[in-house]
Amino acid sequence: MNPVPCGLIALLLAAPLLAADVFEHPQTPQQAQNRLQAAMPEIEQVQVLRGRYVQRKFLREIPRPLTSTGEFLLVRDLGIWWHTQVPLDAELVWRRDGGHAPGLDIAASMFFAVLALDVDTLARSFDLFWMELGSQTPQWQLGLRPRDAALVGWFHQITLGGAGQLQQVSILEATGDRTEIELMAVAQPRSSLTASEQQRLER
Amino acid sequence: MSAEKDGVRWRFWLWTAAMAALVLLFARVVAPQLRIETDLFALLPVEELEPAIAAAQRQHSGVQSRKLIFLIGAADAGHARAAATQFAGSLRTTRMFESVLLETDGGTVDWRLYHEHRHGLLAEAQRRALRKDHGAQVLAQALRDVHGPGLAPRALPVVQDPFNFLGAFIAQQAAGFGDLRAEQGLLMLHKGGIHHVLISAQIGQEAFSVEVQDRIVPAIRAAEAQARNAGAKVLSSGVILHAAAATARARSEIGWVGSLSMVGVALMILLTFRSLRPLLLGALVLGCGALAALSLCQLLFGKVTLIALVFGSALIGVAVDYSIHFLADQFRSPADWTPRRALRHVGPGISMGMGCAVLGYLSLGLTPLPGLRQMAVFSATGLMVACGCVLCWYPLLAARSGPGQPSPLRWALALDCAVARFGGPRARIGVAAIALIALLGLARVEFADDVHLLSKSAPALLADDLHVRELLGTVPDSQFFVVHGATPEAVLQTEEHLRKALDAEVDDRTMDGYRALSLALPSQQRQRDNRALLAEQVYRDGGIGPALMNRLGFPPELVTRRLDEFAVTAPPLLAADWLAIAASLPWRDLWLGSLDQGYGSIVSLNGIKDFSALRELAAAMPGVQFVDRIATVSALLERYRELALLLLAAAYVLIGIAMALRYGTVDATELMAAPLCAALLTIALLGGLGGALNLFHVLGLFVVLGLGVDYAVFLREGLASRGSTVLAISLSTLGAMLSYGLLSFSATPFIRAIGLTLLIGVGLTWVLALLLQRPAAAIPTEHA
Repeated sequence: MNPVPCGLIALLLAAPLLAADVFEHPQTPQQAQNRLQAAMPEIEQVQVLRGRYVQRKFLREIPRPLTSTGEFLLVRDLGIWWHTQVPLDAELVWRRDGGHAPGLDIAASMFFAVLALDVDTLARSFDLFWMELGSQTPQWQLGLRPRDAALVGWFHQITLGGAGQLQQVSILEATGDRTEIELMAVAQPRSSLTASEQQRLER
Repeated sequence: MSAEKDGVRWRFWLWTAAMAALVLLFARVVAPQLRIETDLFALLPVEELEPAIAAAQRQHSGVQSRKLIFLIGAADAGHARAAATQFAGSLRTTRMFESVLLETDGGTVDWRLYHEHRHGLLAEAQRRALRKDHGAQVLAQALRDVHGPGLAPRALPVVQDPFNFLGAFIAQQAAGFGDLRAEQGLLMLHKGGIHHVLISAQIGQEAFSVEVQDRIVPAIRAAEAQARNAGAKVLSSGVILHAAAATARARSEIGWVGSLSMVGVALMILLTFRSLRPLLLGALVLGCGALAALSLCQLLFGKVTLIALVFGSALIGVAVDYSIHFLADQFRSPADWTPRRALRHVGPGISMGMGCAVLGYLSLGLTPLPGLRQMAVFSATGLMVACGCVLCWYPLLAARSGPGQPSPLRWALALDCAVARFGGPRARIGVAAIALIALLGLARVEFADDVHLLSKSAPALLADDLHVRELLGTVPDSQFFVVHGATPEAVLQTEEHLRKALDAEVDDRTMDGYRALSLALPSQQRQRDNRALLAEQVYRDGGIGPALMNRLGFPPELVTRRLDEFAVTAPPLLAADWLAIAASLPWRDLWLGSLDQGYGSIVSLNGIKDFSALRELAAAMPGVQFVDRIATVSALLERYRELALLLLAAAYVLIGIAMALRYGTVDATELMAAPLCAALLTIALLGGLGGALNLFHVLGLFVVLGLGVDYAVFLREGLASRGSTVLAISLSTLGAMLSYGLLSFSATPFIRAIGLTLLIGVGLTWVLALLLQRPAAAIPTEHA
């Protein structure tokens, strides 16, 4: 066989797999921003995001995933309140302006940027990828691959997916552990924020 | 007569040979190694510390002073990165820096050594928590962490370290790095809408060497200008920038003060002697004196400090007096004057004046304080060589100037007559009364010995420093702890002891934080303790280890494997191994390594609010010293000042004795009256002008003493030639007041202090000398 058809066949065989993988579609930050804007025209207006989540952690060598559920609140200019309810009750506040325990500021600002779909901040630390899946749900995927050595040693990749809103976050750590978070959230106006919620996020 | 002639000739040629040798020595040996030291702090010994600690401190200060920090900022992150890359590139191409760090290797650090030894490594908070309620809190926190949002960093996967003990230990180290984070290979900081990139650089040589400053600072300024032209903001911070600014200021001041006073003195000499020759001779004498002083200082001390130079150059002004005094002698009897006769007539006076002044300055050299010693050596050498030049060269080289009486001589005579009207017993009583009042007032004179006398930085530089400090948040203060012990292990144990106290201080808000390398390298003792703690609370049947692993659904064989792993005893992590890995890089500047006796480390501090609490803390802890250079230097300045005052008094006594030996007690008392009263009045005036006095005022008084003694001796030896002597000392006063008066406009506080003291002191000395030292006849005898 001559090499050309051989390569062609390989390409044809690989094509369906490629189509399913967002990480085959690199984007410049501007492109990713534009696509996100097109997929979610009202994204800029979302000031408060409130909802529930289900998180599953798939840890190597441990047969069953660790599942937790709870509620969360994201306020674009303040931060995130993350309330685990099952299997234990725990609250966590990640403020936008830092001031966390040593070493946690980076994680906090990154988690915030992920949930708030802040492409500008994400683009500083990650290469971006984008894919739309037509009529299927979720309809779009945003892929993140860390660029810095510090982050490479931490994550392999992060995938965000949604239809209209962000619905799924999948984090593949460098160790092989994987976290899947499903979000069921409603965007709300800033005025929906109660005084106690505001206080909680403002320290 | 001919023997005397031969003597003059011999001396002339011997001296010429000596000076030729001096010039040769300077050109071949001294000039290549001449180093002007601008670090005024280097003048001060750190006597309070043990030698080993002092060496450690010097080493630390040296490292700190060679560091530079740049923050390149722009509203657009990409823009800031590009500007920073260009900035670092242009610094690198100069090849003048030992290192220019832009790219970070953060994250590529190999933590494997820590992995091996992880069962001995615990974060402080977890150590504390494990000792309470059998680790229940630690267990609860571990469960919360595992179930928390999936973006929290861990050093090892959950299965290997379910409690994330190692992650917490490493995170504890990250606390010292503030808001900086690695992004795309650079260290960045995002604050107030500006994206900053951090560049740190290190110079290979002394920041306080003028030669180094001259090469490096222009390179930095060029890179800054380039970045600013590209629209970026640049914040620069580093000791060398301050040192260079101080050097530049001193240079421009020495430049304009020097040239103005030179012009003044030259005009004065020309007007009086109406010939170029005295001017050239004077310059020659000054040059020889300065060369000799510079050479001896460099050879004795290995460098010449700026302050010795300033003080010494003021003193060399005294040396001009010898020339003037010698040459003015011609107006005594213009008809038959020859330089050889002048030697016989004014030679003894000049020698006596020089001897007394050198005696005074040498008393400064008896102190153990290197700064004062250098000034003493510099001044005494300069004076002796200048005197030698006048006595050996002038008899052959000097010539009579043009015929006729110069107007300055007439003015001097008129002046003396005018002063004579106020002279006499009444004047003495008046001066004595004023001096008495001044003496009583001395008790009320205030002293202020502040480190800021030594260096006063330009506001723009200070503003940049402050801005960098605010942005980074963790720039260490200038105070720190030195920890020392017989072995590295002892150092680390003492550090851990100290850290416990420091944590309490941080909780009390006495300070914001600290950096100590035992945070990254626990002592072996601490590692064993940690391991024992884990064995007791975590990794045993019924401990929180199996409890957590079961809750998380670990298969039983995995739980057994974790417990077995723990049971295999790993040796503790050792300092030598740790220092060899990249993880220790951010901490190595704190490790002093082996000292003369034992080992040492630094604990750096930031945001100190209560210095005394930290000082007390160190005092109560063996092996720990609190180093506060600012307070130490202020205290040293005070000691110097007290010592200098005592020495000044001693110098007056010494000179008084020398005079009594030559002139008898009664005459000596009369001769010492003018310089003594002048000093008292100067102190009173300076105090009265509203300023607190300091070391540099006292040093100024030494020069006043030198001049005062000269005047007194010249007037005494020149009884027979009052007119020419009055002319000589008036010219000297005028010259001194001109140059020192200009020094009192200096922007550097200590130079200003010396200048003002001399301006007042020399003027008073001259007036008092003319007023108090009247010849018996009270009428000038010569007229041309």
